[in-house]
Amino acid sequence: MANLLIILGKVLVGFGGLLLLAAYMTWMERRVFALIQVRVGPNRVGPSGLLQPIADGIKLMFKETIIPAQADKVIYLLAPAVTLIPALAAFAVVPFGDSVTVLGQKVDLVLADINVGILYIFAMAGIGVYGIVLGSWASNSKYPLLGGLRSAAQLISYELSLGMSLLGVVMISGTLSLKGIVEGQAGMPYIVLQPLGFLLFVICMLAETNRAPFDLPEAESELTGGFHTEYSSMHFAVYSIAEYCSMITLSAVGATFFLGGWRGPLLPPVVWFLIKVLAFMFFFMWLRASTPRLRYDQLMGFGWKVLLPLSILNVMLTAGAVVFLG
Amino acid sequence: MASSLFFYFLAVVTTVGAIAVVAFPSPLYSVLALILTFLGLAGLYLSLHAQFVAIVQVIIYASAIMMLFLFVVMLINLGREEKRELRLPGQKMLGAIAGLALFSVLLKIFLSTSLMTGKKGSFPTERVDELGNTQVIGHLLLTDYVLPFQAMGVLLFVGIVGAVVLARRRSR
Repeated sequence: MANLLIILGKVLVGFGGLLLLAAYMTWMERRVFALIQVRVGPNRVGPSGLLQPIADGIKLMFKETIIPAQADKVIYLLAPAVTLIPALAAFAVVPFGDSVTVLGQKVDLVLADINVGILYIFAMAGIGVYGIVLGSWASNSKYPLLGGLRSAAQLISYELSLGMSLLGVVMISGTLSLKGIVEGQAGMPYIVLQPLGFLLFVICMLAETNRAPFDLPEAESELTGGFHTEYSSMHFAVYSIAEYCSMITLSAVGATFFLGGWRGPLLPPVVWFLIKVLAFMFFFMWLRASTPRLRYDQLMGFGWKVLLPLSILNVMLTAGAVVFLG
Repeated sequence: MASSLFFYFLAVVTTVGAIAVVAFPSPLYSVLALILTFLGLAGLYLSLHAQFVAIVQVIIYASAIMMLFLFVVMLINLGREEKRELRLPGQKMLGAIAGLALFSVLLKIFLSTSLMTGKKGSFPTERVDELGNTQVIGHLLLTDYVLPFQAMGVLLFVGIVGAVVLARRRSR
């Protein structure tokens, strides 16, 4: 019974926290944007505009769901969920704190410590792409279809380099479990040993989450709104929550693989974990406010001709170092 | 108890998905049903404690390969399938024979499983958990099966080069 309660509690805290953080990222994004562009940003609803995400949520809920006349209704309505569920599920393997004692039991602050953790995150990311492709196809409209195809091509291309950039850390730590990787960084974070891997990871992470300068799937100057042009109301909201969730999950993966996860002096582990994730998120927003968008051919060329060879080089160098230096 | 419920659920998902692949008139729905079948299979691997195989099944089959299928169906815009004439004379007969042949192979395998004979295989779940299945697969791939593994790599490489050569624009 106590076990069941603990599991339920972990799931509620983990996913609830993730969703809350995702909602507040919209607020943070607008405030950071305003700061960089010397504006004020949303500051009317609640103190410093802190209730803005809730107001936005209520507004979206009361809007009308519009289904295009020629759309494939079943797939059209299902597609946002196909993106959101894997985005949430991926977070399950990320350890967000050290073990704590609840009801006299030692509880690890990770929803599921499976021994193929990082592969699981990639599997979920792979499934999430379907939501975008299906949503764009089911809208039966030209801009979403083009946006969806771009998105799929981009995600598939950069997923390769993303996986390869993490292989160095996997080789050094000798485990695929995220908990094991955090344990391996007791002495020093892996960013010291894997600077190239970290750089590659950050670039691929931006592309994986469709963020500037890789936000081609929703390039508004050429594609209006990208793959979710036709979506309104909560279906639109689900897409954007899913996007923020996967940003948070990838930030958490970056923090876990390269920055030591929840490790840090003085402050409690969960706080350190949040600080590292938020630092990544701030970087995302900073970049979006200050970089222009790539052209489509530049994006593909960069992914396949620069990032992939560099990540293979990183894997080979790391393998050599692991063999010769132990 | 819980694990057998899990098994029956997955068995239903996998089988219904597989039937739906053939039964749906629209190719896009067939592709989606096939994805469901692959996810069900991954769940079955998971219930056999083969986490690595399950995850690889999702990454490679359910996401990478099916994404290609989906792309093709979406881009060439296949409509609904119409009733059409059978292409070969006696196609139904040939199909039945092929189906029976496959069924007899499966039956032979089924009769030799531990369910029927009562003997356990060489890799029961306890043993797999003890060894760690990612480690076991990695070790086997680079020792006992290193030649097929490398041959597979060469084959894939040839495939990639072939695709590039075919897709390349003609230039003098």
